[in-house]
Amino acid sequence: MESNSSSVNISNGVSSGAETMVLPETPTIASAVYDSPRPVAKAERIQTVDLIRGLALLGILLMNIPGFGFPNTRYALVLTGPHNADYYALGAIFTAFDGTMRGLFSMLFGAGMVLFTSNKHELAGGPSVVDYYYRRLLWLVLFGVFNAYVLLWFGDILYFYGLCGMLLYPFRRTKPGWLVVLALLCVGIGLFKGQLGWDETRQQRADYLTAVSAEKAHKKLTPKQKEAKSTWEGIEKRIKHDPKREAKVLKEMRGDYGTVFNHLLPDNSNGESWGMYHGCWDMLAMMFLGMALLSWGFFSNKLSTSTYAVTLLVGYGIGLPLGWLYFNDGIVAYYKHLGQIIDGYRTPMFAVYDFRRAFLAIGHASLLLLIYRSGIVPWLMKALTSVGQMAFTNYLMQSIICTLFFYGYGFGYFGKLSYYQLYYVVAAVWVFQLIISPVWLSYFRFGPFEWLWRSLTYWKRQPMLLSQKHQIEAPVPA
Amino acid sequence: MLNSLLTDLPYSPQSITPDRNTLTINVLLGVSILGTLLLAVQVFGLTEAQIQQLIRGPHGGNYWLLTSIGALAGHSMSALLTLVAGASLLLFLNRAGVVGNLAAPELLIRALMLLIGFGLFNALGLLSTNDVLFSFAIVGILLVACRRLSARALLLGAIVMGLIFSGKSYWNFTDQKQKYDKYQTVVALEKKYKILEKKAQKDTKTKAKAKTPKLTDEQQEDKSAWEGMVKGRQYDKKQDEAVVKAMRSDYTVTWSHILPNVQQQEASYLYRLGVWDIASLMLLGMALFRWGFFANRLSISQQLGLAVVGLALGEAIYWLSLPAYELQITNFTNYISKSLLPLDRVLLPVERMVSAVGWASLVMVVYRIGLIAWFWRAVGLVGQLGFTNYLLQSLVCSWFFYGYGLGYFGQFRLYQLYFVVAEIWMLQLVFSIVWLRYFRLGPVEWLWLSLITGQWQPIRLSASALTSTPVLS
Repeated sequence: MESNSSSVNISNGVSSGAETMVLPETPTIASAVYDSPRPVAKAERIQTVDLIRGLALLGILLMNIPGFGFPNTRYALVLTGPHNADYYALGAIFTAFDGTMRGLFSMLFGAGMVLFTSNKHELAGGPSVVDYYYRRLLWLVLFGVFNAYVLLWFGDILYFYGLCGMLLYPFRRTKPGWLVVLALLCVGIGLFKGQLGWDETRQQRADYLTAVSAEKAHKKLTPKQKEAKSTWEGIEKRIKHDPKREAKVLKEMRGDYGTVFNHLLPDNSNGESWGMYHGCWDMLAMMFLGMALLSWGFFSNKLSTSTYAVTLLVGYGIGLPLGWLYFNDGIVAYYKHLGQIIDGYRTPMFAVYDFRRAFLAIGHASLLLLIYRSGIVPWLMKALTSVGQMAFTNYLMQSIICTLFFYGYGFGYFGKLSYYQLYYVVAAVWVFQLIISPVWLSYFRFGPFEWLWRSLTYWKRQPMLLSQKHQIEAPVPA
Repeated sequence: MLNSLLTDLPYSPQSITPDRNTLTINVLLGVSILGTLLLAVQVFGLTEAQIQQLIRGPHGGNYWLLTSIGALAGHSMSALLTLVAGASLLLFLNRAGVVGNLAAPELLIRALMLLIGFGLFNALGLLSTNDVLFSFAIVGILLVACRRLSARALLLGAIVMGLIFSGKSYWNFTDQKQKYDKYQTVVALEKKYKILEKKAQKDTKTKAKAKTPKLTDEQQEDKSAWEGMVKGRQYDKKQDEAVVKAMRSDYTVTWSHILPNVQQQEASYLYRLGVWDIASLMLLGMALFRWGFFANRLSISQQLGLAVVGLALGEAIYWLSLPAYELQITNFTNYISKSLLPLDRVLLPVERMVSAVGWASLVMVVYRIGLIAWFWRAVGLVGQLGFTNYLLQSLVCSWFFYGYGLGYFGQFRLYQLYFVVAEIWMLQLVFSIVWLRYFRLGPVEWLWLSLITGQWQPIRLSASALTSTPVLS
């Protein structure tokens, strides 16, 4: 088998993953490790993983675009203002998509880890899959740092995926049932931490109320009461529209590169430190779930059509109502009557977040697979598969395009579009990526960043051009 | 800490007779675990402000005690511990056998992931505010990718990591300098405005109201940003008393008091600076291991030379940067405005690297020529029980100093702390000798190993080292 490796076709789908690739004839380290040619059926199976990843990748932009181009303080205006186009757009997006595409992406990242590490022999002496796996992730962490601090996208996830991925390795052979237990455990830890935060806010609110009632009774406030009062007022102020702060944000985001860098620096470093420390459960939960779904055959298009129909119905049937509750009774209520919400609820409505997005993500994926099976829009499915195959490049490309479009050192559209208008930009990026990805892959083996990442991982320049011979053998959608 | 575990991995055939690397690393680990207590005890027993008051106040005996402990063990012992931890990553990979279908790298990753949990337990269960296990485990996982690098590449990595630490420290410094400059401009402006205001007041008698300019919000912010920074570094008696009170209260109060500190360290400090410091020393330890340093590659006289050079250089840097370190505490404004470089931060990685290597060499020389051999045997046993002993220090210190135990926190003079240290040292030496006479593994090591392999491991010495009993299955 080993000698036959001239056209070994491997898919390793860590995050960007699934570069359906052909190994070069020259014996490389890789050909010694991945020694079994992949049957066509398997290559076929991987395609749906790419397909779903393509959807998730495009979908992520739905949630990211406000981060690129919309000042945070304006959410208060949209959420508490009249029900206009902005409000409905926000409602639809948050009900159906908030966290789901990221969730799907995390699930596929977990699945990709299993694909990358399974069926590969540990060779005594030479570098083994564990080495490539950890090198790959260490580079991913650095790409994340690059995305955050050089491309200036403060919503980067690559950094987090790289670090979380390093914790997944020992679970690659865990049975799906246990993986679901692990996912629930992670969700549970997240809920617990969320509850602690909520309790603290409730306490702050209660202290504030006592201080206010003392004030009304014309008592002199103790320093502690004064502090409690200003703490709560600070919290309320933070979610209110603040034109002064907004003007400052607009000025800085429309400034030159150095200004934008400095403006985003605290967001970036707090995100990567505190965000990882408190938020890794969010990602780990979905990654474990994704690993379980992969081994049940969900992502590999192995289930029956009726099963996908059921997962679609259950996913949307539970996910959409929860999503609406999350938006209407969670986010909107939080912005509109913060005090009453804090007083009235022992548990935040945000607690449904992870359940809702897991159901919705499964619903989205089921819908996509049903469309794929029905064969209604094969060209679109092919294009999406290519987008998914180049997910790493496409993800970074979204950062490049959007920062150049919105930030001051590019076209400076930051804060110039209303919320719903942001989605024109999304549509344009989608069309662009759906066209460019299949075209690129008809000439090259991988996307440019996949190539760079791969070359760094193997510490060897990887072949890039797709030669005629390989084009025939490789199942690359042209 | 990994090494004690690994030599006892039952499935590793080589592990029956410990090799040279293991013996050396056990001794060095014992030294560094006992040595780090010299500094750790200050954190367990006194507030940071109390320590800093020794520097601010008149310099008496306690000041000199503080300074000389800083010179001998301050940065070097924790550096040595980190270096040895790095070396034991490779030792683990070299010596661990296959358990079931788990190969050495996988065992290592499991061990490190569990170590994250033990670190959290040490910090949030035993309430140690200077836990290193959590950070070591995370950096260890990051360095798994480097396990096949050559000694030269590892050394290069160590230097680059150290440079990043220095660079980031310098960047922080210039940032603070900028804040100071902004503050200065605002203060100057404010003075000008005040004069204008006085003039305006005089003029109002004759003219209509003249408008006097006021500071913008941004200028106010600049001013208070700097003032806050300076104020945070001054001695605040009330705050200090509040800390002592919290640490002497019951468990939950102490817990809530230290929680923000612990999280700050584990999330923010580790991200900003800690990772570079730890990675540089771990990579150095890995480089030394690969090069054969712990297997006596150097001759005794060469090693002695290295010890002298390393320690001399380390001491030189310590005393050179001491004034900067003290100025930062006594007069932060001058530290920022008058000095060109934050010497104490920028040179720290060099100091830590050379003094760790110096100490390691010195211990190895004395050990190799067989001076006080019985003592090194005992220290080696402390190292073999490194993980247990490390947690034991937290347990004993928190019980002794915190309110839910004897509550001596904040009550001692500095020198008195070192009676506690001597007691703990003696306790740990005796405990390690006695324990290892009956058991193969320390209690924590036993738990750890059982969790790593998913099987209860034999703990008694009489049990055959080659079999494990699958109790759970």
